[in-house]
Amino acid sequence: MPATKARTTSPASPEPPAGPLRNWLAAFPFIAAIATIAGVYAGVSGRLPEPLGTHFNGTGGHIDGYTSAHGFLTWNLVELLVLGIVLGVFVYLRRTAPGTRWVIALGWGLAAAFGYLSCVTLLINVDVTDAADVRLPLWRVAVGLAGALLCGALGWLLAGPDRRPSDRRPAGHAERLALGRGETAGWSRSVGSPLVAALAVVTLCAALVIGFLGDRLVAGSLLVAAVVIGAIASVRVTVDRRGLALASTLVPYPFRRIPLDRVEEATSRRVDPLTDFGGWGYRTCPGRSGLVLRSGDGLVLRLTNGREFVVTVDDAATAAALFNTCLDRAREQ
Amino acid sequence: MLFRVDPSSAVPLGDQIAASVRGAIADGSVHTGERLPAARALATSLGVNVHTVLRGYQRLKEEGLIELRRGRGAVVTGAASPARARLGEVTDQLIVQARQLGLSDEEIVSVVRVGLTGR
Repeated sequence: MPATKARTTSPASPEPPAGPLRNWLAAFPFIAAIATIAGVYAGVSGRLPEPLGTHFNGTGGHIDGYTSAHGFLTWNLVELLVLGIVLGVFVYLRRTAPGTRWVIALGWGLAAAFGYLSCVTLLINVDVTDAADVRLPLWRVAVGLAGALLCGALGWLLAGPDRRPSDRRPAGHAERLALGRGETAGWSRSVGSPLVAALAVVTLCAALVIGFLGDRLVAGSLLVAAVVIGAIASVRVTVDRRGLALASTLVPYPFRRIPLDRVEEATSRRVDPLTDFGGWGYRTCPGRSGLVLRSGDGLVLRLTNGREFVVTVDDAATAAALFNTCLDRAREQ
Repeated sequence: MLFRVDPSSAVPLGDQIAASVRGAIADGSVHTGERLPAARALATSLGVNVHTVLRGYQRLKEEGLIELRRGRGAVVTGAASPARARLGEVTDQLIVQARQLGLSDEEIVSVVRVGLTGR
C-alpha cells in the first residue's frame, strides 16, 4: 500500500525571535557578576582584614564565620562560573523550548543575589582591623533580595516569550488508509529507548547501594523511580478501532489511552524531544504532551481540547492513516 | 505493523493475521528481533478470538518467520528475511490456485514433490 507510506510534511517552522542571542542573555548576568566582584575586590584588596568575616547569624547580623580573603574570592567566582555554565548549556540545549524564559529569569536573579552578597561582604570588611566587629544589617539582605527579584524580572522581560506550541502545528491533510467495508485493522509497534533503559538500571543500582548503606527511605523512593523509568523504557503503541493505547511491554495493561472521541485528527511528523519537549520521557508542556523516547518519526494526535498528544514511533504515517480511517468510521455511525 | 482482518473473506482469520505479518516482513517495515503484540492484546484490538491469533502465530512459527517463547511472546527470527516472507506469500498463492482447480491437499503436496524431483 504505497498510499499509506506517504508522509504529511509540515512546512519549515519559522525561527523564534531570539535565537543564539538567548544563550548570551542567559550567560550575561554571570559574566557581569564575576566582573563586578573581581572589580570590587581589586579596589579594596589592600584594606581588608585577614581572615574576612563572611558568615553572619540570622538574628542580629553578628559575625559567626571567617574565610581567608583569597579563599572567599575564589569560592564565589567558581560558584558563579559553574552556575553560569550549567544554566548557559541548559539554555543552549533547549533554547526555545517552553519554560526556558523562566530559566533565564532564574539565572538573572541568582547571579544578582550572589553578586550583591559577595560585594556587600567585601565592602563591610573594608578598613576593619578585627573581623569580629563586622556586622551585616538585615536591611542589606532585604535590599539584595529585592534587587535579585528585580533582576530576575528584567531577565524574564529580555528573554521574550517562548515559542508557542501552535507555531509547530502541521499543515497539510491527514492521510487515510484504504480499508474494505467489512475489514478491521489494528496497528501495533513497540518503541524502546536504550537511554531510558540505562537510566533505569543506574537508578536501580543507586537504590541498591543506598539501601545497603542504610537510608531505606531514599532507597525506597529511588526503587519506585527505577520501576517507573523502567516501565517506559519499552512501550507498545497500539492504534485500533478504540483509539490509541500505550502500554509498557512489561505490563499487559495500557497506562495511557486516548479514545477516538477525544481526537480531532491524526498526523505524523518529525519530533525532536529536546526542542519540542525539553527532554525525553513522558512529557507535558503547554499545549502538548506525549511520550517522546527518541527523535524522529512521531504520531501526533490533535485533540478536541486543542492540545496535541505525541508518541515517537517508527512508521507513524501508517498509524496516523489508520487512526483517521477509524475516526471516519466512528463519525459515520 | 498493520494487521488487517476481513471476516467476510474466505481466507481463515488466522491466515489473514499471518499474512499481515508476512507482508510487513516482506516490505521491510518489520525487522529481526521485533516483537509482535501479545496474542490476547491483538485479539481484543481486532475483535477476534485469542485462539485465532495464536493459530496465525503458529503458522508463522512453522514458516520459520517468528519464534514463540513463553514469557517473551512472539519475536521475528533472524531467518525471517523479506525474501523468506515473500516465499510464504508465493506458497499461499500456490495453495489458493490449486484449491480453485479442485486439488486435494495430497495432490498439492505431490505437485511440489514432482517439481522438486526434476531438479
